[in-house]
Amino acid sequence: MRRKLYLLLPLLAFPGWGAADTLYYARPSEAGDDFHHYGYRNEAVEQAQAAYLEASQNQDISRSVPFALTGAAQYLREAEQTYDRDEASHLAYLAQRRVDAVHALADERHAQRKLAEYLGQREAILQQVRAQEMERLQRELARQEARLEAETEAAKPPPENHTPAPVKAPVPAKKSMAAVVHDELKPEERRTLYQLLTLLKTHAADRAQPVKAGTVGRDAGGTDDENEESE
Amino acid sequence: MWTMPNRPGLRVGVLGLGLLVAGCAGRPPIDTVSGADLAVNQAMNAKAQQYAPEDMQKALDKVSRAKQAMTEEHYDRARRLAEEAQADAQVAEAVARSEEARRMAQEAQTTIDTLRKEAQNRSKRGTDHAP
Repeated sequence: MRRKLYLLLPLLAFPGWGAADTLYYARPSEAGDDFHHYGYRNEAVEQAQAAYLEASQNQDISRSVPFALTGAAQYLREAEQTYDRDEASHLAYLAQRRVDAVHALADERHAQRKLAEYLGQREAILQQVRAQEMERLQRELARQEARLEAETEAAKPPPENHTPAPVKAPVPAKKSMAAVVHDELKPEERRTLYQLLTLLKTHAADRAQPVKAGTVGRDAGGTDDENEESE
Repeated sequence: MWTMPNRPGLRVGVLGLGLLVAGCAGRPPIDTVSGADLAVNQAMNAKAQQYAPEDMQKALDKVSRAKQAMTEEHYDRARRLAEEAQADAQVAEAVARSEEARRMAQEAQTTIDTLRKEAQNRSKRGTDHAP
């Protein structure tokens, strides 16, 4: 019988069975919890359990990402059930990180909800601004129409029984004699005037001859004999 | 010189032990390391280095160590490191997305405050200029 003991050698190759701390391992308890517990303490597993418990009771997580903790629960269950201490710590780390990711995911959903809310508010404000602008433009349009109507009314012709106000004739600018001759006389009149002027120039010497007879008053400068002679 | 005793039972035991040791060495976790690489790249695309530098650094370190363990044929260690790197990268990505969403929400809130003030000013001006 003792000779056959070497047949048990392969059993030592199972992971963990040859290690000293396997002495602390025990079969799963029947405590009735969701997870099975073994007879040894693993700090990493305990921390992961606490983090999972806290996250599962978080209202934001249960409302925003209700199924996101499933992966963490799976890792945690495997960590509690494994016989390998290193593997248990590793799985607990994965569970812990999964819980961290779920927290971040819940935060993201929360921020997205806020963003959607803000975008809705922004749209409402923009609509309000557009309505105000439209109202202002309508007021401006009404004002312009009223002004245009008043101008049109003022430009209408007066009624027939209407007595026009005396219109002052424009004061003409002073014209030179040449301009008057040019503008206001007909060609034949100008010709006549020219002949008259020539005549006057020709007899300019006669203009200096005093009148000495036949007048009364101012021209009565001559003697009685001269007056009688002229008559 | 030592020779194996000529016992059939002993031969069978040694052979079984050898097979088990060979089986425990496992296959190289190529897919797991590739998955970790992919997760790290996705996290980088989500600006994780900006928003979650510590988690991102952890992920990068573990990916590097996982690849080193692969070359040393420590496959179990490589698998664990790669899985942890992937988890760290996923956390970094989630944190980055969360921070980005929070930043956008803050910007939207600032815009709304500005718009609201502007609308109030317009409303006031419109009332003042009304005929």
